[in-house]
Amino acid sequence: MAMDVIDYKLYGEDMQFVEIELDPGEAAIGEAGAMMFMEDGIAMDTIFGDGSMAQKSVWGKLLGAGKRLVTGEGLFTTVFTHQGTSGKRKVAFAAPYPGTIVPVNLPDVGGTLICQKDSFLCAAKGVALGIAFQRKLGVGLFGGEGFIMQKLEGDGLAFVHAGGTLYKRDLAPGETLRVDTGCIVAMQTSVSFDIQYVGKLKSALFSGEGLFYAVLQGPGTVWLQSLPLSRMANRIVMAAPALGGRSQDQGSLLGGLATGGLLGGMLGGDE
Amino acid sequence: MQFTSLVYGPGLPPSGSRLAVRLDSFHLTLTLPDNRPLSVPLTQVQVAVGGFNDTVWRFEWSDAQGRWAVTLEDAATQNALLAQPPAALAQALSAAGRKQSRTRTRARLGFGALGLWFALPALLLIALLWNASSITGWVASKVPIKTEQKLGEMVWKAQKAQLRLVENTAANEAVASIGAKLTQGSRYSYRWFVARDNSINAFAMPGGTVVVHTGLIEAAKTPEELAGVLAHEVQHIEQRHSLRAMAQSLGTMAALGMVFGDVSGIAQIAASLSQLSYSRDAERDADARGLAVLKAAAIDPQGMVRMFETLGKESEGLNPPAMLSSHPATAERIARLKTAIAEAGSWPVQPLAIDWAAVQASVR
Repeated sequence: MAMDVIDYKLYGEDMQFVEIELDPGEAAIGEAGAMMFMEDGIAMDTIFGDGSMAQKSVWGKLLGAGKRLVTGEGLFTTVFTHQGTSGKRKVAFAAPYPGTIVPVNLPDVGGTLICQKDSFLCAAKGVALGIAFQRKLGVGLFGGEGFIMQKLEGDGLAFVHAGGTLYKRDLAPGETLRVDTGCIVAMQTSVSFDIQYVGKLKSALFSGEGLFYAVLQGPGTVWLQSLPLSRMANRIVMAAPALGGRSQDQGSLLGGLATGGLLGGMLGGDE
Repeated sequence: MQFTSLVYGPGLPPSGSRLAVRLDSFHLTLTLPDNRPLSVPLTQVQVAVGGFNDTVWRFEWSDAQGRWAVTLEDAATQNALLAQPPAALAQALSAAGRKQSRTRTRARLGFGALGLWFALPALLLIALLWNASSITGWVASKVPIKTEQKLGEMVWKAQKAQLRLVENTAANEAVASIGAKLTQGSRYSYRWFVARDNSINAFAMPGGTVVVHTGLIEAAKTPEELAGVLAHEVQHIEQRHSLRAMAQSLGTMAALGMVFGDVSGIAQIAASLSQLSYSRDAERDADARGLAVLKAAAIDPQGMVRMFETLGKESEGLNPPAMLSSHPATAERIARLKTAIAEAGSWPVQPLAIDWAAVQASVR
């Protein structure tokens, strides 16, 4: 499996896109719909599956496409190939919502990266997109990432995207980090992913952190996101009067109840 | 044993470095990136299971600079190590193997339970449909006869207005006298009616009301033929088929609602198909039991057969496909009936002492 070595440049701070420079004959695969622009000489082709193994049987391709569907990606991937004979050409992929794009060189992390489903943005052609199925029931139910995660395999460069600011954290052997569920974006396979009850009923109910933490134990590298999309979406809906929302930021349980009613409407009126 | 794996430790990249690892009976030896060997006695090495889904074995130890970890993910190498472990690590490795298989077993149990939980409504539904007849029979048996009679009275009041009842004719007498023979010792008190209607039909209402159309009386050539139909209708009442149909219909609706969330579309179709199927079963039941009653009353069963034959001729070409019909196909009913008669053997028959020509004349 020959990997294409690609150069890239990231633009923007919170709403990023990545520009990839392709040498003649090189190709990049992108999540369907992620392409922002491409220069002359680059041809776009849509393929069934992820293009990591061109000689796969029809059945194998179908299986691969099915897996992609489960992980929340499209059935098809688009391949961008520099078909010219000289010079470098550029193609850019944009993140679908505010957040950060993180380049991960797969050989640097041992060749395999487990990431949040739907977080794949683009990669060098040859990177395989698969599923990492969460076999721990508790983690799947309460870990915030669900049962299906994405597995990127290969020895090229891959770009993942998640909400808010992305934070790369290296865990030493045995070091643990407790993380809010839903904030994990990616990790090496050597990292143990578990859940832990917050410990006190009072905290479980009123701390706002939910019933469980995700617990990550090293060795290995993990990437965390500061603002999962669902959380931001939730806040936007809560704040959108057209959708029936009317939320004062940082509202408590009581505040939430009160502002829902007529009384709250009078007390909290800001129109 | 030799393998390459990701190694984490002081001076190595934080995301690990893929190094050659050698395990002999006493030492674990690494070849560091600068080709320097690092050897550590196995007595200092701890084995732990971790990583995503507990697929990774970690060989860990500490030295002056910090903590090291060799992570082994390859399942084949793990099995090879389990088969021939270095003596010093034998216990720890087999414990690691046990922990991994425990994780796998737990996953299987957990997902099995989860699957079962989601499949439960569907299984319940299947069990319910499977035993529908005995369940509805039990439910119906819990309804007191008084309630059933009240229900029948309501239905009768609603129906009565649409019927043109014939009263005080020879036909009324004939129907009542044959009916009395067929309902001896019944817990219901029966009422017999004749309605002017040219279709060959008769019907029963819960609680003991039977209505015979004049068309049926005219089409029947002997009183035995009428008796055959009455025996059938009486069994609908005796077996409380309408109550059971209600129980069945409500039960299926509830069960389908549980499985499909709301009762609409496909669920509705499934429910009506199951009701029709129940109705066909009830007809067959009434046929079989009706025959038994004819035997008990010493009435010739051939009358019932002939009536069905007449019915079959009348409705030829009008029958919907079997699955969509409330009654079984007439040909099938006749065949069943003939088999049942043959099985029961012949019984002494007393001809019904009724002046049939006069009865027919009275409703013309």
